[in-house]
Formats: sequence, structure tokens, C-alpha cells
Amino acid sequence: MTSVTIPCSFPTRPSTLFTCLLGKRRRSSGSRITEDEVNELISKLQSLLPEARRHNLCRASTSKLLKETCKYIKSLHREVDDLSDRLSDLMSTMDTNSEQAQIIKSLLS
Amino acid sequence: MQDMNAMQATHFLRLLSRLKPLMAPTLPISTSQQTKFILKSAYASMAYAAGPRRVWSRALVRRIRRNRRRPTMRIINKRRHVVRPRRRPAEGGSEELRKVIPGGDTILNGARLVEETSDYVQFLRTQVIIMKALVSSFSKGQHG
Repeated sequence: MTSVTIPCSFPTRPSTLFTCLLGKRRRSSGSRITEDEVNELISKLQSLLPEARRHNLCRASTSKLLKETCKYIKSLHREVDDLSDRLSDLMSTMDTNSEQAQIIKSLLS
Repeated sequence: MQDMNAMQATHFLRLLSRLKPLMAPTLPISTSQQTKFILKSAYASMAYAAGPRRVWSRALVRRIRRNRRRPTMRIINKRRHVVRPRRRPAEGGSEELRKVIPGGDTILNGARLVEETSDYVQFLRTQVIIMKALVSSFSKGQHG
């Protein structure tokens, strides 16, 4: 196997979770979902998480990985929310000729 | 990839600059309206930078357009109602992931879902970086 492998053990058959995740296999194509493809998807999901959140996911199940990904995305949403609040505060004290307005103007030209 | 980030930042700044028209006097809008606008601009700039090739970006644009239209009484024509494909409830977390990704509930294929997730997360991360940079440069301006 030349693909990047995650150092943990996988069942020899794709787990039922992944069968659900990968969707119904088209009956017409004869191709089965290979273990390589499953590994690739898992490693892709894992690589999305920042270092701090990866911790014990190596040993954890796929569903744990998916849950962590959901948590991460939700935390990003909260960050965007919070930053919008702060930007709004900063911009309301900004008048049109101030330095901040000039920053925006210069970045756009 | 650098170009994509710059494009996303440009979209965001363009949208933000609508809040402070540099020529005309500003119309008074409430802080909460302003915050909502900034939030929408954030997601809009992500979607515009990503383009229509992604399920999530198309879903975001649809969401924004929907919110902009004035809520009217609509007679729902049942015939035109989109039938969501029924599927067995998936085990594990993929259901939740689909709820979190915009347009995720229309993605049936799990491999596609992972692709879209990866793309969405990258643009989200970039958006956070852009906004943090703006906040810090504005803060400096105020205290400097």
C-alpha cells in the first residue's frame, strides 16, 4: 500500500458506518469501495482538524472523528459570530475619515 | 491558494465598505443590524470566493438571497415542493455533519461530503484569519 496510512487498525471490511457514509453503491458499477478509499477519506477528515483537536483520534472510531469535525466546524461558526460582533463594535466608533476607513479604502484599490 | 485568500478578503472588504460610504453621510443603522450585515458579509465572501462549483457555496448564496427577500405570504404549491430523497438514517456522525455544512442534506455520497467539508473548513478558516486581522488593525488604529 503506497497510500498514506494512519497508524491505527481498521477492520478488514469497511464498517457499516462507512457503508452508510459512502452511500448506496450503485448497482450498475461493479466497483466496490476499496479499503484504500476508506482510508483516504478518514485521513482527509483527520487532516482537517487542527493539531490541538486531533489528540486521541487515532484510536477512536470513525464516528468520533465525524463528531469532532462537527464540533470544530461549530466552533469556527462561533468564532465568526464573535468576530462579527467585535468588528461591528470597532466599526461603529469609526468615522468616515478615520484611519480605519483609510485602511479599507487602501486595501481595496 | 494565495489568490483565493486575497479574493476572499477583497470580497469581504468590499461588502464591509458598504457600511461606511466614504462620500455620503452614513445612514444610522442599529448595532445589531450592522452585526448581522457583517456576519452575512462574512459568509457571502466565503461563498463568492469559492464560486458556484461547491454545494455549500451555492447553498450559502441561496440562504442569503432568501433572507434578503421580504417575507411575504406564500402559497405553497405542493406540486413544486422538492421531494427530499428518503434514506436510512445514517449511523455515526454523518447526519450531524450534513446539518452543519450548508446544503449538506442534499449530499448523498459520503466521499462528496468529505470533499465539501474539507473545502468549507478551509474557507471558514481563512475567513476567521481575515476577520482577526481586520479587528487587530482597527484596534491598533484606535489606540495608536
